[in-house]
Amino acid sequence: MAPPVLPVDKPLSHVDDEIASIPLDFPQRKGWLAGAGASLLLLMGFFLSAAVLFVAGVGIWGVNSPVFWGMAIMNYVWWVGIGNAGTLISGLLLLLQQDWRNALNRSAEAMAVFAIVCAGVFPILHLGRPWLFYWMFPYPSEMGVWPQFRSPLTWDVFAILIYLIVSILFWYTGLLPDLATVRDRAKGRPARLAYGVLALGWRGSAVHWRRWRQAYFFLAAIAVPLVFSVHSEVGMLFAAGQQAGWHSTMFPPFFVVGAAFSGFGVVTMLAIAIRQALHLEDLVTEFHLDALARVTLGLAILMTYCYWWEIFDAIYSGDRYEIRGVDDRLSGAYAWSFWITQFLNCVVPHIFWSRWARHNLVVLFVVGLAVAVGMWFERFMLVVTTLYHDYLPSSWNYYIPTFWDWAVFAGTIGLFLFPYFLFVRFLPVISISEIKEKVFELQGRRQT
Amino acid sequence: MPVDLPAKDRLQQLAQQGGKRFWRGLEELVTDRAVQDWLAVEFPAAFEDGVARRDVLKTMAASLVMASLSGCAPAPETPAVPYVNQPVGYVPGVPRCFATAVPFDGYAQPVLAECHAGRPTRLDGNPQHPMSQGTISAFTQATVQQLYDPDRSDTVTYRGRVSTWGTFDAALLAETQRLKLVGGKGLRLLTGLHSSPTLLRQIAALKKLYPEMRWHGYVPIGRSRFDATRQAFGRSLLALPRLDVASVVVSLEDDYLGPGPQQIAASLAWSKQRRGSQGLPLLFVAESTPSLTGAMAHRRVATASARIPLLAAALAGQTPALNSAETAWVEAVGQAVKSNPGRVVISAGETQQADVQALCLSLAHRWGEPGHTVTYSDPVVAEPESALAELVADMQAGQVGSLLMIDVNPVYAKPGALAFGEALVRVPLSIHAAGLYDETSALSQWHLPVAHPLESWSDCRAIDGSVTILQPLIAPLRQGRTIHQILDSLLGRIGGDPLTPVRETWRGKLDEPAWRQALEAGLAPNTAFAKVSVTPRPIAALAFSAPPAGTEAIFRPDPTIWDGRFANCSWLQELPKPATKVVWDNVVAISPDLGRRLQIASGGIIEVEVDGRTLRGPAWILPGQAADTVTLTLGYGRQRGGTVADGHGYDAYAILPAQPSPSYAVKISSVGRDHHLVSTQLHHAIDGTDLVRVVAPNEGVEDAAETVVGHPNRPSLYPRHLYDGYAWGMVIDNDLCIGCNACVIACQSENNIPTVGKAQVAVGREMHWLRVDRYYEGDRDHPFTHFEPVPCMHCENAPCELGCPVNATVHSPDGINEMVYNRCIGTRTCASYCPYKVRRFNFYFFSRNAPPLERAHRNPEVTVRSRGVMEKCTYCVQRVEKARVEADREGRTIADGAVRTACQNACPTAAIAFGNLTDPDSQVAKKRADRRNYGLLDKLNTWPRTTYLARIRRNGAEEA
Repeated sequence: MAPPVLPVDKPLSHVDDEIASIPLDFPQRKGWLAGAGASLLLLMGFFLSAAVLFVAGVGIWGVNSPVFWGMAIMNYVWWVGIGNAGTLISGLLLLLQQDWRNALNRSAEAMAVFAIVCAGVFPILHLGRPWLFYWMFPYPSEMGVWPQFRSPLTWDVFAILIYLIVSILFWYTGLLPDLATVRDRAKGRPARLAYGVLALGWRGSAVHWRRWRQAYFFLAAIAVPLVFSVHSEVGMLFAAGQQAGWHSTMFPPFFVVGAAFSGFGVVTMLAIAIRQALHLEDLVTEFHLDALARVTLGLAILMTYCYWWEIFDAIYSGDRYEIRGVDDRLSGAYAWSFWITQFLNCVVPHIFWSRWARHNLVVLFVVGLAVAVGMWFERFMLVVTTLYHDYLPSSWNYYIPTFWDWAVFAGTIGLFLFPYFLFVRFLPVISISEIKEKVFELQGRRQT
Repeated sequence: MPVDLPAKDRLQQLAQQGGKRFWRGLEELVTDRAVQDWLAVEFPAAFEDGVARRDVLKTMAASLVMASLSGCAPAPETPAVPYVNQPVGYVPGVPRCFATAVPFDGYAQPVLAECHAGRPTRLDGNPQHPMSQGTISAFTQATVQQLYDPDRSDTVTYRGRVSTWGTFDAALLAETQRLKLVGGKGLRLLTGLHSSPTLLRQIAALKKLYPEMRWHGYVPIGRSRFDATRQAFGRSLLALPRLDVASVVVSLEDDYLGPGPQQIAASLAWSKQRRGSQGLPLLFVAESTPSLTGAMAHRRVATASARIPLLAAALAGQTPALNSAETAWVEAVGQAVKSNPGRVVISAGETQQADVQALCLSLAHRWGEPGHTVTYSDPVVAEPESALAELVADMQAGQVGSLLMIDVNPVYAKPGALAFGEALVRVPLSIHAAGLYDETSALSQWHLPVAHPLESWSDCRAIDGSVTILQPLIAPLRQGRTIHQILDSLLGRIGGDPLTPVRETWRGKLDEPAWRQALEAGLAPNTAFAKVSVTPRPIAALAFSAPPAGTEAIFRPDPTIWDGRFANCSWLQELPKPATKVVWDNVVAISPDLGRRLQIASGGIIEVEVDGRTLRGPAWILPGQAADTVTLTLGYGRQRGGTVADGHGYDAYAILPAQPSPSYAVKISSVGRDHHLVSTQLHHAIDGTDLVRVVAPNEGVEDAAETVVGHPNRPSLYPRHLYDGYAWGMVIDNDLCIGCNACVIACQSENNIPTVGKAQVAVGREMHWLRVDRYYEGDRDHPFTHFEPVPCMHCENAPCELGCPVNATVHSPDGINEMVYNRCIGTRTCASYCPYKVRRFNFYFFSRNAPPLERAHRNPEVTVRSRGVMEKCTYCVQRVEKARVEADREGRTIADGAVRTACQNACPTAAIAFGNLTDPDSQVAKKRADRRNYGLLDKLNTWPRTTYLARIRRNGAEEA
């Protein structure tokens, strides 16, 4: 039997005290100001680089012929992937009744929402004429033109949009009872008013709970297929193109695994940060972190399998271009991106075979970071090594990201972190009601 | 009062500021200290006491405004009356075509100029002219860009200051009076090479009026055939090797198919023979630096230019010491000559010494059939009295009193050893007439703007001697006078109209109907030169000697900007050089072997020393370059060539010795730094793939592309496109493509394709819709070179169409893969998915920022693309639609050949066929049924509509 996961020795109100007091009386004001300020700067950088981009054109980036897709696409895929794990943790594990998720799901859901926002801006920034992005939507145009439904990009638009809406609804629905708890504990009128409005008049009646539970599970049921469909769709973005190195049926599952993998890396980092900063050691326990580490290790093995399968698939095809593509990945001008990916994604996580590593916060954090970075390099490898040497040697060329490529990417980290800091500051970072329910169950079990 | 130099320089500086032209505001000009000083000198009255400074400025500002207004558009000299009735034959919106010609080193390049609303917008070849047959070279097409060059000089200048034609006329009148008294002593005329009957008539008249005048003519790199024909036949002749009838062609560094004034005629002839008989003519080439002729060779040997005489001697039966490769080559030629009696053509390049050329002329006479495989006529280009070197000597000796330079740039384009510039400033009266204010203008007293050939009345002979009357298509944009007007004023007829001198030449020879006919057809009837029969003189055995050991340097005009005259033409600057694919730069081509020895890679700077003069330039490892040879190309390193030309490349003229020679001894050393060279193709090996195919005569490829439209036997998830009317397709015959780039410029001109500059090409953003890929086969020292033009494949099963989320690239009912520019949002998915990478993206506003004058030559039939939009080859859909409208109006179908794409039209070897694939009798369908027909990357199941015909190479059997 696992060690006690939750503080069952204390009264239930202790959970309320511990979590709901955070937004009302924030414990880490200085640290928060520093972190939020830094991410606000990054966010300003994002607006600046986006403005320069809109005025000057995508020529300020390193994209060229033949590498028509550059960092915008890599970052897009990376952010979607991160978002994916949030939904996976909250939705899938809810349906599977994996109760250990309760300590993590709120922050994971917030992460998903903000990551999807970051992912969502890239397809727009990427456009040559970004002001016309809405042409990808199936709106009733007086010209009678529709999107082109064979294009994976069209489905990407639908997927991302639906995913964003469902994620926000799911997150908000889960928040409702907790917002009411905060409202009830708030001292000042402004806070009571704000949380009261957000809590939509939640009174905690049995009917409320019943309706809420129905809606919550219903949304989870909608969200879970999205975990798979969205990233399969992103995989199709590549697989539909006839480029050696992309044109493979394994891409959708391969991308789903990769997405979950990078997401778990980021979830681990965020969980550790929140736990340490807000002293939530008794709610986010070593057991939770251990579980994250185990999943990360499992996904790393799955990823390794995918990489090997990809190479085998290319060689087994016997196609000279596929084989040359593999050779290029392993030893070409951008081979470093392949080997960094391999090291960070396939080698580093194996430290989690050790129990010590699974319980060492520094190791956990570093491996989480390694996985997130490794998955970014994987996308770099997928986009660049495929495009820079495609079929005709005459069109081969290199891709060098420019300052503005990096600036936009750094900017979206601000776009992610700043709202996340707001979330940590003003909303309950752990699901109070679900933890209480669990603690209650455990206490009940003890008494009998 | 003399003008102080700073003021003059400041004006120059203002005049040469790129981008915003001339000055930002009148304030900037007028408040400039140096300019004020100059004004004070020019208008002393205005600066007298009592007049406020502000008033002076106001007055000046007003007059400057007037001056700039008068520069905007030349007012018509006759009263303008608006149309009451529409002129016959003029329909607004319908372009009109006029036949004329553009001279190139004395040879007429016949053109058909398309004019929209009075503006010539593009040049095509003149289909009625046998020396064009509708085809046209890259150079000739680019002359339309020169016409609208914003850098063209727009005023007469005297000592660098703005002047007027009237002032010049007055000065010239005084000078002619003086010259008449002294019989023209000290008067010199310097021109390029010319065949214009009017110019030659005027020069004869000048000689009559000024008996002591001398005429010097030159082209920058010493090339002459006159001495050789005199040696071989005792008279000046033009010997034309007939590539269209020969079975064996032997070229000793004679680049028939390469760029130059004779390229079109030679390519037409070569391709005619090549098309008619599989793999013929057998082309044997010995050369030091890879040329287009060498790339087409059946058998090529790379050898130093200095060793060419040895090969010539060996062919003539002498026994020089040759290396094994050369011996094998000579034996192979001997074999082919033996088995093809009377069907052999041989010639040596213009840069070779006269005795080598003469030997080849007599061999051609002996091995061929005179009058059939080689024909002789009077020289088309007149031989000047005297060369540039003599002029410089006379100038230095103080014997030149007045010098008139017409359309030449001898301060820049001349051997560096000739101190022309230093001598020029000592000439009492120097007049330079040219289109641009260039290096020579800056050192001459008078600079006169010359009208562009498309603005001029003139005449010129093509290589067969036939005359084309040049007619103006637009009034001179920049106050220029024609060269004939300028010469006429020297003859005493000052301020005459441009037509009179030309009409005078043809008075009595072309009556009014014949004149009209000549103008309409672009060819004056019965003016071609008669063939001359000759008896060869006995040729002494060639006195050859083994060249000294060491490395040799050879100088060549640049393949895209020639001797520098096209340097200000962005189309040609951005046109990849055929061999290196380098743009916006010239390179020092060195052999792979030399590169190994110097331990240098392409782009490394090397120092080249010839005759004690040195220069530094970027090296380029060129496969096929002879082992101990470096090739330098002329035309770059400009200082006053215009905003486009200046600052690119190195100036090879600086070290060019005065004495013409095929090659010069050279010392080279690696400097160890790098130059950022930009090439549009970084990888050159075929990489073991089947991108270019080679077959034996009468054989086909193994996997011939499907000929049935719609590919019923191929799998696809999507419903098929069905064609009952038209299905456009293209077949490109790689066996005929000589890599001349004419198609690339034709496409650029037709489709308003912008140039993007060196920095953008460096990051892979060139915009050419049609590119010519060049691949090497075999080892680096002796490769086979393949050219493959790659337009859009218009795939039936197009990956791009699948990828676009907004339907911006779609399949048309007649099978064209269309780009809908205004629907494109720039996701670049289509380009990422395109296996051929033929799509081009507007990463910036490439077109919008062009100067207004440059927009004048845009094709109004083709949309100019904005930033963020994808573009690519459309099969010239505007021409397809035009033909469709015409056919629909007349209730018929579009006939085969009614739609000709721009690339197809320009191609001098007719390598490109275009038409309706559903019509089995169409030319393109027939070519597609050829067993050599293959699709590029056909295995990807893209079903390309543009297909290729494999190259034909004869193996072993030299018998034809």
